[in-house]
Amino acid sequence: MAYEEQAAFFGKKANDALTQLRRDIVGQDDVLKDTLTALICGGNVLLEGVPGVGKTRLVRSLGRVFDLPFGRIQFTPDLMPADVTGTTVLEKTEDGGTRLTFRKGPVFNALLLADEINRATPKTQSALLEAMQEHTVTVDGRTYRLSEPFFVLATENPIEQDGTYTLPEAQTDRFMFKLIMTFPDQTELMKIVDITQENPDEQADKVLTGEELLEMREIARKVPVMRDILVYTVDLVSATHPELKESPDLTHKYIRFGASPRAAQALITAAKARALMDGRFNVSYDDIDALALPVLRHRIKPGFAAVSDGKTSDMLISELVELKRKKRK
Amino acid sequence: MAKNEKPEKRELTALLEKQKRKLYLEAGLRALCFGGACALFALFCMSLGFHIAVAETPVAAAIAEFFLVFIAAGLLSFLFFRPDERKIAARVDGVGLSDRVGTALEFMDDAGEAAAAQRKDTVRVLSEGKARPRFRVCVREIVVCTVCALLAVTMLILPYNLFALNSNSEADREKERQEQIAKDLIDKLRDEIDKNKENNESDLEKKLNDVVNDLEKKLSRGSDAEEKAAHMSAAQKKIDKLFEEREAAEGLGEALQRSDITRELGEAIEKGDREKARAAADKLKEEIGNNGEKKKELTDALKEAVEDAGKEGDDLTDALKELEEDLNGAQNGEEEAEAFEKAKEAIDKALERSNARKAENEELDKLLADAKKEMLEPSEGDQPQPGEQGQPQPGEEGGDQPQPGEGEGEPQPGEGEGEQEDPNGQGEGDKGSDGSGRFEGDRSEPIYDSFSGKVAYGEVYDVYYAAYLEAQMRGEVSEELKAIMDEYFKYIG
Repeated sequence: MAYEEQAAFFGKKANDALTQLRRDIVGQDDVLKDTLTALICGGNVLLEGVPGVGKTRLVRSLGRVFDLPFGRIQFTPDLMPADVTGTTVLEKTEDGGTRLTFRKGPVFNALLLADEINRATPKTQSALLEAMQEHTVTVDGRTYRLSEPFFVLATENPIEQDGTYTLPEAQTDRFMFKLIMTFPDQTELMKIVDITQENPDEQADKVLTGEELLEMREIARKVPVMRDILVYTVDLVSATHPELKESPDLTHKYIRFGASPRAAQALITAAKARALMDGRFNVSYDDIDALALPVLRHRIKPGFAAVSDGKTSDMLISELVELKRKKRK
Repeated sequence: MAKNEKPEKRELTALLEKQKRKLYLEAGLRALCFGGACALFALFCMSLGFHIAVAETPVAAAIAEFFLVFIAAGLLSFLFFRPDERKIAARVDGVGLSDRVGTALEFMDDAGEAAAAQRKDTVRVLSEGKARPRFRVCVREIVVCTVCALLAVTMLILPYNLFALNSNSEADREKERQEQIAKDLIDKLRDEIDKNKENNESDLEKKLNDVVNDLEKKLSRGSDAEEKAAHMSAAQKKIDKLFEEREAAEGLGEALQRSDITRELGEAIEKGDREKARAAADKLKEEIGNNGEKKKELTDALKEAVEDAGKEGDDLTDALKELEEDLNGAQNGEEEAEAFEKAKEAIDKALERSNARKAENEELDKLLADAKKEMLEPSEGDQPQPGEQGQPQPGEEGGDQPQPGEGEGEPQPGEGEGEQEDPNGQGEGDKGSDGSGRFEGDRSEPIYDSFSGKVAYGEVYDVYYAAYLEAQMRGEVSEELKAIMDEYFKYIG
């Protein structure tokens, strides 16, 4: 199949998936698109939003769109790592004996919804680390390889902070995107009410298989990226580091920790998929700029000055992008 | 929060300022390069223009300069700022062409199927004509250009010197004064030459007029009073030399005094004393009266004096020659007496003309000296500059001390030595020289190279030479240096 055909296949599948997702989710188009982008690239997504904006519904809908095994973990403070990874149990054999059998946890599903992930203790949260990064799970000294594709879609609630545990940096860094689901506007809200009155369950049909998703990932990987854009991306990520002398004053003043190299990797990988979804065969600066927020917002740590001046991560990243854009032009 | 807003704003302003400085620096550097290149290219065009044609008027020159700079700036700005492929793509970037073209150019040699598809996609987008650049009118540039054009046109049409603080400035008045002195001098010199037409041979009159014409040109081009005064000194010297060449009386008088028999006549001729000359001639007639030896002594003395003086074609020389011949051919006392009478009349007439020439020479010298003095006198309102008070200006002491070429002082280099310095000086009048034999040829056509600042020797020779002579008169030139300088001026002359 020629690359043009592959790209056309990519575009069609992505479009189909978005169409199906839009059946269940009203508005939030950027979030849908970014979530799909992350899944195509094999990245994990952290969804943040107030209760009721459709986080869980989105993930469930995704489970329907992708013909993949779907698992869900409702994170609570008493959730144990074994509840995530699975555990070895003593089973009776047919001949009346016993044997130790490993019972797989929900992490062994291709699509895992980690609902309200920040409610679990760090110990349990970290049970996902290995799975998210290496797509393996080690239990009782044995390592199990997860099936491909594998994604974690985690949700967190920004307002209920009591009894929550902030995700450690090592874990947040493993999420390709952090997406914010905003409260819908009036029209969207009306539509949401209408849809759920007619049919409260998700309506999305399966349009993508795991193999097709992997194929799409491979197609996206081939998209050429010109050097100037690579340089721009690296420059943008470096600009979030206050320890670098050449970083802007804004960074020195407001940012405590900058984004990891994974951010640059994620930006380029996601930009390739985004370009193909837009029907282009090349990555543009606009792709990088558009992806800067979902990729960087959970990877930088604003300092005390930022908090006291009311500067959020999103505001800082937007200003950095604006600076870089001006410099570029 | 209110407290925090202020430093935040300051921080933001500082951040923007930093960016602005960088951009300004970049733009400034670029503008300097562009401006420098424009100026240099315009300079090149203008120098080329000077080789091709010389603008006659300031307006023509300004128009020529405008077009040259216009073309130079236009060409260079196009070279500096013409859009490359990426800029063109960025300009028509309605469909992200900049990134498309950039990627296509970078992956032009990539044989991968994705890169090939990307190139095809770029070509497709371009060929579909989706990317249509909107023509942006460069309003700012047009406004700047219009303002500059208005300024330029205004300056061109405004009368000259309009913005001078005082249009009738000291400088203008001084210039007018110098011009008036020069004009008066030239008129007077011409009148004097015309007045003495009868006493002069036509070629002397012509050469005197040449000197005056040359002086007129130089005075009109001279930049300051000193230079003009120097030109006057040089003209004075040339005139003196012309008269000196014509004047036979002194030489003949000296030569005649070498013989006892003709000493009295020689003294009278040398002094130009017509009465004494007549008396001396009568005395000679009486002494010779039928004395063959005396007659021979006289004819020999006359012959020798004429030969020694070496002034062919001169009235006085002719008269003495004729007397010698007539005496030799006279058969009796009556014929001798007749020869003496004839000679007496001829000598008298020749001395009369000689005296008139001397008077004319003196008058011309006086006119030049007076004009020079007047030229160097500070105009009304001029205050002596510190250190200048009491210092003699070139030519200022003219009333008391002889000026270069004034004839009364010590002989100057070149003065009275014309034959030695320039053996070809005689008889070159037909080349339009000033008679000195020095300044022909190259000096007739002024050459001024405005770029190198070099001028032809001919243009400054007079000034330099006059300055040298004056320095010599003031005793500022040592004997050793004098030899070198004389040789130098002889060489370049």
